[in-house]
Amino acid sequence: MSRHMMNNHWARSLTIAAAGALAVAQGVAAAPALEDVITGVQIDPAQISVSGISSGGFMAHQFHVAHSERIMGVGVVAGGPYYCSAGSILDAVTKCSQFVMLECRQLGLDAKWCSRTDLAPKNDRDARRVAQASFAEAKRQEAAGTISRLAGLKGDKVYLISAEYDAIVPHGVMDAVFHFYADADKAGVEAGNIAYNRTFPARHTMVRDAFNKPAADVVGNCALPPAPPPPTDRNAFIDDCEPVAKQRQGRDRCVCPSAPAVAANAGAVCPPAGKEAVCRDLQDVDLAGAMLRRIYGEQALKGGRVAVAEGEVKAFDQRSVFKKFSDIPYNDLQNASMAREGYIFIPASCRDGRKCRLHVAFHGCLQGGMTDHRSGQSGNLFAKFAGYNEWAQANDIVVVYPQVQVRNGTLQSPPVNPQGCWDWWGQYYTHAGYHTQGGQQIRAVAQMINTLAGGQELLPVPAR
Amino acid sequence: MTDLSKQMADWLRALSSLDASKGSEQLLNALARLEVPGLNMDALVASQRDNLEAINAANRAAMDGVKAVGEWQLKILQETVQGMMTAVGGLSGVGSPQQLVAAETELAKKAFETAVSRMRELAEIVARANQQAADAIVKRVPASLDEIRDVLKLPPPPGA
Repeated sequence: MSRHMMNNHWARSLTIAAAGALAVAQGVAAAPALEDVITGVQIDPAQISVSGISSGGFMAHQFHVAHSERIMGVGVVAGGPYYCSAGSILDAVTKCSQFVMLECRQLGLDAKWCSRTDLAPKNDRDARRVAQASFAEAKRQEAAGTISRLAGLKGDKVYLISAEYDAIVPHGVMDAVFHFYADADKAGVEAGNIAYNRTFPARHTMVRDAFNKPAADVVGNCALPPAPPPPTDRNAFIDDCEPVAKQRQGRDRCVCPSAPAVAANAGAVCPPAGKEAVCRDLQDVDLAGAMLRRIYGEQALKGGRVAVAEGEVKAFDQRSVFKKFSDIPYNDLQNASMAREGYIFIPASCRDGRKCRLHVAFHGCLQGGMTDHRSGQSGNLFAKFAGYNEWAQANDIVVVYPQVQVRNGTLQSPPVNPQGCWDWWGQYYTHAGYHTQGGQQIRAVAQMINTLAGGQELLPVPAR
Repeated sequence: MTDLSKQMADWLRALSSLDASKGSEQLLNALARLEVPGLNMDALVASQRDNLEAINAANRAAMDGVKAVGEWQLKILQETVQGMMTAVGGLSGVGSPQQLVAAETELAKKAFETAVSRMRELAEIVARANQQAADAIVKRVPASLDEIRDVLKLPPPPGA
């Protein structure tokens, strides 16, 4: 074979390879920009709320505090108080969660030694002390002008839950969130505006019921101790707890007979004395609904729920969100550990010009972006199956699901985010200021809200 | 500025030797801001960072696999030694040479069966480790194909 022929052969192969690569590239074109997905949508700027689970719960509360002048309600599932970690990864995994203790036990180390790594608040006094420190930091940031004025928290609606068997974020940490909002010397949110569910029988998971539940085993069955939790690589951290709740309602005699039967059965108190709170907590078997109801009120959700196909959740390009405020959007997206795609659910009714409510739902660790690729599952499980969309569809609520994902950075080259969590500690992640309006993730989500609000600067997105 | 350009040269060397630990956020960001005609440096640097992280993760997964194999070997060694000690103790009570041969044969057969089942276990561990390592790389493929256009500033495909 002559040299000329060989060159030709190589050139031909290269061309075919390049054409092939481009053909595939066209097949995986990036998701559309957020503004292209939301054509026709109008948002009521007075009806914007947030919620989240686990690291997303930390983020929801943090985002609420940073932008309380515009956010009117919040739902926190197994999260923790503002600046709980005080900017330290070590505090994050010992004082604000039990990651170190759980890892320690998993390694089979001495149980007594392991329990010494659990520095979370143990009683009400501890929880108040943590809440005090947390609110003091909020005051400092308020004075520095890096978050909203804290008066913005007044009148807001708050739903909190710390499930009975949550081994990852202990009750004491959520108690501190409660005190942050409820105590008169802190946020001082009106008692009637706060619901705190502290007894629902579940592990660290997004609790839902069987309504519009997907087939197969995407949604877990709410296994409680002593049954083992599902293996982490198959656990979507979304569980149908309806059977468990029904069983407990029976056990605790929470199911009260109708009025005529009561008359016939005079004398029996229902629910039994001392069980009122437990029975009330057991009703929140559909957490997304419980949170939205607390935030927007019964009346606003009178449309109930309708089934929604998972394909109705649409992807948008999160890089295009960064393009609004960054000159290196691709790299800043990576610096913020955010995924290329975020997701949004838009009810059909919200395209006809009416003003819709806007809810931002933050997933937990291992639930976002490329991190959420469980074998045999379709991915993006939180946005599809956490239970928000069914309420949203029937009640004019747009739901945005911003996404973060694992980044395997190094200490020299952060972000280090091996579990794909939202940033609530800063160190080796998105750095100082992560809990302010200038935080890298908070800026991106604020920008999403602004884009949804027609491009106006409803929430400040400060330049770095 | 000499300092910066030297740092940049260092970083580029690190990049070519695929050592992710040498990059730093500030340097990567500075590099991403460089203006190079025809090239989207922001997309290029981002794409390289993704590649480095994928390899980083793959190496880590492979290391976990190696550790698992090491632990397995230790376990086998312990079991073998224990098995031999028991067997030797048991054989001392065997009477005739024929009985001894029969007992030894039986012992060898059992040892072989155990070894086979252990080999299968080992193969599974290795397969799982490689799978994890491969997954980290495979997850990058669709994204990197998508990047070709971004990096070279190609126009979007019709209808996209």
